[in-house]
Amino acid sequence: MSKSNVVILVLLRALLVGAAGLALLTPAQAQSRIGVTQATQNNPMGQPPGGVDRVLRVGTDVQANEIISTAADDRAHLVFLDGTTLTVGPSSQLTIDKFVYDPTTQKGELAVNATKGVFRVIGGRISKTSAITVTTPAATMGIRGGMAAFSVATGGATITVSLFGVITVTAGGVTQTMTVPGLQVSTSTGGTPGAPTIVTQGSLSAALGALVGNSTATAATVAAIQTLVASNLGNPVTLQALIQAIIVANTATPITTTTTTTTLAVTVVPENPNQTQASPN
Amino acid sequence: MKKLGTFLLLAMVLAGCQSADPVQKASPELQRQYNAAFQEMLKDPGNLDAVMAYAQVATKTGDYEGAVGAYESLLLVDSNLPRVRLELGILYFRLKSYETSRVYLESALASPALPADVRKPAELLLAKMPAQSKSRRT
Repeated sequence: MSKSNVVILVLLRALLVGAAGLALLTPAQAQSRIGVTQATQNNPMGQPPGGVDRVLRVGTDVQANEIISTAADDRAHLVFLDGTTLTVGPSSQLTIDKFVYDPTTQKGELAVNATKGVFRVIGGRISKTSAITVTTPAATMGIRGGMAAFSVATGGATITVSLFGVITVTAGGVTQTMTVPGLQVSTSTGGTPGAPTIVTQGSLSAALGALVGNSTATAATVAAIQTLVASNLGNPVTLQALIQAIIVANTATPITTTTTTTTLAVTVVPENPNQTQASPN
Repeated sequence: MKKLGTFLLLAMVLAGCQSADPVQKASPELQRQYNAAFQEMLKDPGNLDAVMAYAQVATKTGDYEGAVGAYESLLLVDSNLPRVRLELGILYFRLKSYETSRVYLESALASPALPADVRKPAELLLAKMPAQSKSRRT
């Protein structure tokens, strides 16, 4: 057999193997699967690009440029391929504008555009090296190595709550940066972001409350979760020891804060050597 | 000498970038467990055992955000899970996100379904919660 024939055979074999691999994928996977629906309440909707509306069920793939919408009592929790999670509360609408992720380098880009509603982003691998971008009619937010909750009014006015990491809010050429959890920035449509203020327990509780279910799960499901939780989350003795260790670690070094006119910063010693406060961009 | 300085600066920057991701600093075996648990959860997101397994290995790895995301998904299925709320309170405390930790701890303690034997540790953590940092202008 000539050398050229061998090359052709090798290429043909590679082509057949590739085709067989593609045949194993579902149509949705063959398109750009960027994540999956992990939990839902009622009937959150998803509209993939060029596709028709479908109810998001647990296990439904999410694609790039998909539009996610919820009615008054719907909720959805999505997990992306990089580990980022997006919890969408009731009466919300947003689009996954961009998702690019290289599992080898663990780097990529994630951009979300929201027109209304309540939602929370918990950054995964992507946010460790580049900010996740959230755009609303009022502002553009960046989430670096952290977590944030958002409330977007029908007109677009946006409240951004920092839950962890470095969160920026930009509008009208002004950027506010939050590096301390528990702060919020309000931005009216067409305006500039206000200075960070300490979030009140009431508003924080309300925002987080909108992102949990209404206990509509079946009794069997609830029983299964409770059994799972009870058997996995440590006994009271180990919990007591863990909490003591956490308290000691967290109180060993006093927290100091410094504030500039636009930025709040905190210096802390991580309780876990593997866990560090996210660094500003 | 200038090249050495540039190299050291670059090394410091790279080290700073990497330190933000606890998973990359974990041991190879723990990274393997973490990645396997995450892939299992992606493959079967409705499998509560897989969600719990990922949450636990994420906590062990120091990826508290990953663990928070997994536990939050359970609260979407059923919000009346005080033991999960307690776990979230602990995780947010570890992240120094004290106000959020307080919300979860208080809601866990408000539930009569929270087992009596874990109430004391939860109350202790709540009592030791640092006050919200006060800002000062410079």
